[in-house]
Amino acid sequence: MSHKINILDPNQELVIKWSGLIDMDGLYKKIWEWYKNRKFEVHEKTLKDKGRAEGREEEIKIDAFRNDTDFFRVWINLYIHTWELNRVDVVVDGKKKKMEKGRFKVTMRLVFEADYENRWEKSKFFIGLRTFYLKYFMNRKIQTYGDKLEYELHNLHEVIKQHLGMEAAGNQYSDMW
Amino acid sequence: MVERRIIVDGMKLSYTGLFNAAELYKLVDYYFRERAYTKHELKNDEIVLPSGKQIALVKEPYRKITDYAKYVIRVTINMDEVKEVAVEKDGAKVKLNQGSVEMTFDGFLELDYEHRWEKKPLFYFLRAFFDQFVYKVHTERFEQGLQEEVGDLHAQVKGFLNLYRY
Repeated sequence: MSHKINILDPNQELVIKWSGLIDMDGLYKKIWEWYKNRKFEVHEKTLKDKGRAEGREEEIKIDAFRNDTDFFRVWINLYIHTWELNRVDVVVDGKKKKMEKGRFKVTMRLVFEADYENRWEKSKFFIGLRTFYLKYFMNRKIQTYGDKLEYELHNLHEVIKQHLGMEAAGNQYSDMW
Repeated sequence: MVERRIIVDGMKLSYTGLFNAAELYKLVDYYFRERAYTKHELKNDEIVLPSGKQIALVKEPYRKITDYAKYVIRVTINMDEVKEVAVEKDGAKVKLNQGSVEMTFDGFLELDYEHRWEKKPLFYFLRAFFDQFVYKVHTERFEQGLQEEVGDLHAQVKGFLNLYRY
């Protein structure tokens, strides 16, 4: 079992909740593009679409990882849940556009995985060595690298907020890394 | 368990009228960025209602002062009935927001955030003893610094909202 380090301490996730008009297709494409540009391998673990009387309910679980080195791997996982989605026609800049109206919640989680190939799991001695290495040699490097990953996650957070047209959008840390 | 001291408790700011919601958010974000705080947004909810947007935002950025002490400032922003309005100023039309804003500022000083001095009861006791008697001067200095930073932010936001009193 590889060693997983949670970067977003103390809360482990970033959450966005929105109620109003959503361009789900556009958002989905933007998320995939974001992952692709940053060389993540994306896996859509769950896609549930339930028809309900008040509107569609969707659940999408995306697990994406990137192997930064042969020892470290980064996971940025998304969980999208929508409720009461109904298709509406909206006029945007003089053009008719199909959008959806409903409630939307996205949860983002960032996990840093060490020894994802389980090379240092063969014996208790190797596991001890790995723990010693991570705790005493790599601790500061992990913190610095974790900072960079956190801002990368905030970048995705910002992309989603901009797409939804939220008032609380505008990342002043966009040029940090 | 990290020792979290409440230094600033529920400093409030309320405003009703014209303001720019996006600029207000950027102001708060930029304030923290300038002072090298790590961005940490806990909650960002927005509901579009017929009476206007309802926005709830909770940010809790932190800054490590030493490897033992950390500043945490929690900003809670609640905006109600936020509508977009066009206002004429100096002959030019400006897009602003109309609604009510309620902000709460809390400041916490976190000590031993790396949990080094709580692994054993003896360490825990030593930590409490040193915090209370030996490092008191430094801790008081940190508390003062945190109070100043929260006060600064409060003043900046107050000044920003006063700009929109047309």
